[in-house]
Amino acid sequence: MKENNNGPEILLEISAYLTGFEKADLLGTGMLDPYYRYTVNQYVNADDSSTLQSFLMESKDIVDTFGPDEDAVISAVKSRFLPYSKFNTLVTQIVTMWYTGEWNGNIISIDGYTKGQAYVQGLIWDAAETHPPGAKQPGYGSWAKEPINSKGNIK
Amino acid sequence: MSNSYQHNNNPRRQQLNSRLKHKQQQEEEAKKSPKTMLRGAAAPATTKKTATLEDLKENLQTAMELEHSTIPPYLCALYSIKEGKNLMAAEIVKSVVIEEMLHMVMVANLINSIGGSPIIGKVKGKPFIPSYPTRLPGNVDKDLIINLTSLTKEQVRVFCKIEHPGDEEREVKVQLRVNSGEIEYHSIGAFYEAVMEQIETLEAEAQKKGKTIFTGKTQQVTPEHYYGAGGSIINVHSIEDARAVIDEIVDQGEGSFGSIFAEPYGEGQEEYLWFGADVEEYAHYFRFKEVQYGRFYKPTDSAHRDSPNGGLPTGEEIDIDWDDVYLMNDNPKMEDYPKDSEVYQKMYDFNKTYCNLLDNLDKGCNGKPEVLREGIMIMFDMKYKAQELMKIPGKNGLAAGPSFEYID
Repeated sequence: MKENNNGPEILLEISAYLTGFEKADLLGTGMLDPYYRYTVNQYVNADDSSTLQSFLMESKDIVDTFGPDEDAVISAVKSRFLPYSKFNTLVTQIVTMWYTGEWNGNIISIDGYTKGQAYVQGLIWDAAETHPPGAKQPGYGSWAKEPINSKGNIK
Repeated sequence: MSNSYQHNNNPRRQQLNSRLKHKQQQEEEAKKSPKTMLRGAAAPATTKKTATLEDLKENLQTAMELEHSTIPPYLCALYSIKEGKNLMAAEIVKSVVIEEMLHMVMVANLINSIGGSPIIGKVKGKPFIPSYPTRLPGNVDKDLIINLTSLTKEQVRVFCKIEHPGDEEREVKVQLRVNSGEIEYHSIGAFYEAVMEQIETLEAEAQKKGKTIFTGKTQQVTPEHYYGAGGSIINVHSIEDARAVIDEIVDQGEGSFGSIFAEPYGEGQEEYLWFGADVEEYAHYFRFKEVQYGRFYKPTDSAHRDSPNGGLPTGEEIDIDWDDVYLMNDNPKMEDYPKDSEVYQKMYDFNKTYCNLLDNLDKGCNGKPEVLREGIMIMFDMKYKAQELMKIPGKNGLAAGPSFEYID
C-alpha cells in the first residue's frame, strides 16, 4: 500500500470518535504508532491494503468536512461506517484493538518496547474503572475503596 | 544498608564512623585556624547555643522541603524510562527516590516528636512545592538550578550535584536558622549535623531543668503504616532516636563523605574503598555516578577523586540506552497549553492527584498515619498519570510531561 504520511494522525482522529475516548487518552497509551503499523501489516499481509487505504481517506473526509462539530462527525461515522459496509470489519477491529489489545481474538504482539503493552493499555480497564489484572496495580487494600477518580473539573 | 544504625559492627557503619571521627579532627583544626576551615565542616560553635526550639522546628521544616524538592525531578527521570527498558537505571533512580520519601517522613516524625507540626503541601508564606526550574530549598547552592526533565546524561550529572557534598569548584551552602538569623552551611550533611547539635544542645538545657524537648504527643508514622520502601521508619521519642534518624538520612544520602573532596589521596590508601558485594547500599551520589558512567563500582574502586580510578566506577557495564527514554519538555507548566485543550486537562488531572497526595501525607504525618494506606493508592494513580503524560505530545515535538504544580 502507498505510504500514507498522515496515517497515524487520521487513525487517531477517527479512533477518538470510534472509542469515545479523548485523543489525549489514546496518545497516553503510547500505542498509536505501534497499532497503526500493526493494522497496516495485517492488511498488507491479507493483500487487502486498499480497504485500509480507502477507510483512512473516508475518515479524513469525514473529519475535514464535519469537524470540529462533534455531533456532525459522530452522525457521519454512524451512517458511513457502522451499518454493514466494506469497512464494518475494519472498524470493529480498530475498536476492539483499542479496548482489548486484541485482533481477531488474539492478543496483539508487537516487538520493541511496547511488547506486552497491548493488554496493559487496553481502554477496557479505564472504562470499567479497574486495572488490568497483573499490571498497573492500584495498591494494597484498594479493593475496599471506591476507585480513585482524581479527574477534576478545571476551575 | 537501610537500617544500619542498628548494626554498629557493619563495615559501612565503621567506615562512616571513621570518616566522622576524621571530620571531627578536621573541625578541631579548623577552629584553631578559621582561614583554613575546610568546606563541609560545620560552622563555628559560638552561634549554636542561641537556637530556640522554634528555630529547630523551622530548620526541620526546611529539611523536609529539601528532601521533597528532589522527588519531582527524580520521578520525572524514572517515569520517562520506556516500559521494560533501562531496567538497572530505573532500579537505581527508584531506590534513591523512595529513600528521599522515607527521609521526608522521618523528618516529619522528628518534628512531631518535639511538639511541632510538619507542613506538607500547604502554602505558608512560601510554597512547599518549588516552581521548577528551582534552587534547592534552604539556599543550599545558589549555582545549582534543578529542572524537571527526562532521564538524560545531563540530568544525571545534575542529580550527582544534588547529592554532592560540595568541592572547591562548587561551594555548597545550607541556611540554618538560629535566633531569627541565618547561618549558611556548605553541605547538606553539615546542615543535618548542625541540626543534630541544636537538638543535643536544646535537650541538654531541658534535661538540666528536669525536662525534655521530646514532648510531642502526636501519633507518628510507624513501620506498620510505612513499609517496604527504602528502609525501616524510625519513631522518635528520645535523643537516641533523633540521632538514628539523622544518621540514617546522612548515611543514605547527602554525604558525610566531604573528605574525598577536601583531602589529598595517598597512594594505595584503602580508606576510600567503599564498594563491593559486602556493602549493601551506596550513598545516592555514587549510585547516580554508576548511572552517569554506565558502570558499577567494583570493590577495588576508590571513592576518592584523585585515586587511579578518579573516584569513578570501573566495574561491570550497565546496559543503558539513552534513546529508550521518552523526552519531555523541560519544566512544563499547565499555562503552556490552552485551558480547553486535552493536554491541559491531563496535566490538571495529574496535578490534582499530586496535590491530593500531599494533602494525604500532611494528614498522615499530623497524627493520622492510617490514611497513608490510601496515600499509596494515590501514588500508584499518580504514577500512571505521569506515565501517560510522558507519551502525550506537547510543545516542541516533546512529551507534555508532569508539571508538579499546585491547582486552585
